Amino acid sequence: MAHKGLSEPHVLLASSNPQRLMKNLVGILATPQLKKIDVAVCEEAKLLYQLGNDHYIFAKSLDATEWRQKISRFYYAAYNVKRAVSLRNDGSFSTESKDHQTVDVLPPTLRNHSTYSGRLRNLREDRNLADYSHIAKERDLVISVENAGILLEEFMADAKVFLVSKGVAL
Amino acid sequence: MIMKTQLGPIQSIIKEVSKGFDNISPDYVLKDRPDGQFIIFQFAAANERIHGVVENALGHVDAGNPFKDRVAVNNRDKKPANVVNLPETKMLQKELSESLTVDRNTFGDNFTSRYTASVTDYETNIVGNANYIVYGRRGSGKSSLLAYAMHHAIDRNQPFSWIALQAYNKRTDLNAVAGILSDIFSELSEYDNTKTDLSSVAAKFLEISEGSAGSLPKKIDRLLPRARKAMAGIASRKAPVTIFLDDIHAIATSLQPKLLSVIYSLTRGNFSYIKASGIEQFTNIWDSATREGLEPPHDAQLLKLDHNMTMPDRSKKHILSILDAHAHYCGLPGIDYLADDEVLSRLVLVAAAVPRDALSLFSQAITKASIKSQKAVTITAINAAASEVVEEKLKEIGRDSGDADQDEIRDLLERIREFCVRKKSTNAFLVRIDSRSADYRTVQKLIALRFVHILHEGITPHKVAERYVALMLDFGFYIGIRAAKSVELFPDTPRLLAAKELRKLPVFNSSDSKGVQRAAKNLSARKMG
Repeated sequence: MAHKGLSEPHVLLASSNPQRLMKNLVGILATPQLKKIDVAVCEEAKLLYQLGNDHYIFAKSLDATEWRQKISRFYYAAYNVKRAVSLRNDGSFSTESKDHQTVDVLPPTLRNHSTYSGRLRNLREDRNLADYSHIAKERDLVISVENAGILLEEFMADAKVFLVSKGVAL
Repeated sequence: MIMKTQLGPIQSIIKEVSKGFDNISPDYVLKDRPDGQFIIFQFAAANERIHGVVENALGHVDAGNPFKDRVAVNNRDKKPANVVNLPETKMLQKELSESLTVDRNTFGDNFTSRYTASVTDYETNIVGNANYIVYGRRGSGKSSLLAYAMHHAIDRNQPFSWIALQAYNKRTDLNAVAGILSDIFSELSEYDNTKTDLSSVAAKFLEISEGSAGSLPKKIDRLLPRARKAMAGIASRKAPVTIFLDDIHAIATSLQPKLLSVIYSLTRGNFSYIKASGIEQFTNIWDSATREGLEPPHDAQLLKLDHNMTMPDRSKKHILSILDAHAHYCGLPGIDYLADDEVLSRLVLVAAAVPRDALSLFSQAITKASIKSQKAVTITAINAAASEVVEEKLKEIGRDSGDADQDEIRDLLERIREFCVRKKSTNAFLVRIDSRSADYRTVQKLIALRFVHILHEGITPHKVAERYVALMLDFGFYIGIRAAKSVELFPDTPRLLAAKELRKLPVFNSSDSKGVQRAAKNLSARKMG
């Protein structure tokens, strides 16, 4: 099992799913040892969230005329925050490009999860348009640049509440 | 051979999404983009519930549908000129119609998130470990308050039984008591932990309920110790049992104290409590002659919801918060999206601040506005709906009151109408508080039936110790498409009423009006002759 951009030793390379790893080591490792794995996973979730936040801050700093860049960075902000949520929720983590297809798979315990599910899927399509379509215009976006900013602000706030409730120190 | 018409990919999605909204199709546009089309559903104010319905619908769309990932839910860019015919308005209308009758199943699992607290904040009381009687007119929120307590019990895994007493409508016989006890134990048997014999007690009461009348009291009494023991088997301090009795006024007033007395003998000191609702004027919870029933305040606490027009400003806020909650549910930003403040104020007055009447009137006013091609819900539409609602109320007379009372209720109502509309040209009046007066007692029934509404429970406009109740005749009696110009509307808006205004109201003297009525009757008799 490999993840692009990660080299051993790394907690996310120890198993395809750290949550499952911990579950199956119960009785083999002592509770404090399992806790150490859990703390390491929380740290990874925190870094993913911060990566999302970095993209968000950059997107906000861009001039309004840079609609392609703004949408692209807003999407990557959302995608990485979603990765943090998924990792902490069920241990899922991937660096494959097909992972973008699951940007709308969110835990039902995340506040407003249905809204984010649909909106993140829309944002993914908008990001594809912004990054790859040379004939696209800003008016072609399904979510306007302004609304994408609002969406991110709300999604990150709700994701933070979720992650903190799962022990991630944000 | 009949060929099944295959829907196109866009139509398939529209159909699935419409199904999620009870077959009301939301507005949508097809957005053309360089990478293909997008289906964009439009709402006035989409929210988590709306997104949830769409997401759920997309889950039922074939994986191969090219639009499956190309659906969005957006808010409209601007408010349309016509808001009456919006799909969200149709959804609201359906929602309002369905919420008019509250019972144990209303709102399902979403009850707590969709519940609007009462004006008087009785929610903290009703969940307490005590007996409560919730009084209120039809539509005042009695069943909702009981349902709130029921969901509180569900959330805490506390056993309860919910009996809708309409099933025993107007029953006077003790068989009904045995039947109700059977229902209670049958429901409680769902919590049976095998150490109790709740099911067999239920069966035994059922057997008694179907038996002959003669030996009934003894048979019921003999079974009570066993029933009490069975109930104790599932009741504890942490998980008390609650017996909900919805609409206790439905059974005969003579039977109500007997029923409560029997149930109280099972629950008292047994970690079990009674929570009942009823229309006060048709409910008798304590029979002082036989000393049967629940004697307030020590046996049961009373929670009265009939404060509507005595605090119209607060009632208006309450009604608007209920309407807002329904509007949000349907993807509208609030009820003021469909009607302006002046219209909503009229709605509150016309409904006499009774929540369910307001919901019903608003739903009907949407239809009236649509028929008249109006672009929003107007005062004209509210007025038109009001005059129809009063006809419905007139039909209800026999349902809540005893058959014997019907004539005197209709008679007094006619005299008050005559007094207000023709004689005094006002909709508000005073009646002297005198419990010995037959007319005063009938006025109480008119209040219960929502033909007249209390503006103030007791003022002394003339002499000390001579108290009057200030009342308002229901709007439905003097407004059609527009309010009758000859009738001065009091209050003109849902506002706090000053004592000096109330003291000036004309006094309805029932003996005077009898003359009017006799003359009317004589005239009618001469005409028939």
